[in-house]
Amino acid sequence: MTQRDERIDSDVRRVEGKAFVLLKWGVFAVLVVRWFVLGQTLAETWDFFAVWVVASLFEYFMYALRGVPMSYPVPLNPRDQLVFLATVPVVTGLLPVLILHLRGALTGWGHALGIFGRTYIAMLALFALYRAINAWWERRSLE
Amino acid sequence: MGTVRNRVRLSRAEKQMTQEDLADMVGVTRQTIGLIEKERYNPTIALCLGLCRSLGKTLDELFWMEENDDAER
Repeated sequence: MTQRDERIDSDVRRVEGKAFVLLKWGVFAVLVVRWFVLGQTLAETWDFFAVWVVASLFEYFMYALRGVPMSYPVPLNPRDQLVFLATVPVVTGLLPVLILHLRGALTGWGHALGIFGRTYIAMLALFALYRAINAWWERRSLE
Repeated sequence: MGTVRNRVRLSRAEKQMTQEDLADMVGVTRQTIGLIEKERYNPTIALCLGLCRSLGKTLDELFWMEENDDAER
């Protein structure tokens, strides 16, 4: 037989939430050290990377499914939303190009443009999916 | 335990406020007001009191507990 206590349940959830944040950023820190300090490749660290990607995507889509606004806790007016949507994919696309450039792994402008384009489109697709799921949640929960 | 019911939508309509107006007054999102009105989210006591103040109602006018059949047995 179990006996639930709302105060303890709430504290358990809070502790689990903090533990998740610690694990997520801990794994990220491990990946950064392995890539940039120890010089390991993505193929050598795929297990850690897969855990980190799956956990991050799970968190991202669960937020969307629970109706959390994308920019929460910062409220954005329509103009700010456009700036956010235009800026974040560009920065996300530039980041891998910059990292590859610093590691001397870029073979030319075509390679850079390819990496930028794929990352940019992937980010836009993730944003579009988030908005679509959010809109679906709102129709299902609030109407 | 029973189910928490509320009269937030009715009281908001009486005051001719939109969900957005009420959300801004109590410091939450419009979606949260929508969920409370649909009784799909139980607000904390602090948010309940904020809603009471914004809508000019007492706590028991705005929120009450409806006993489940299981709890009554």
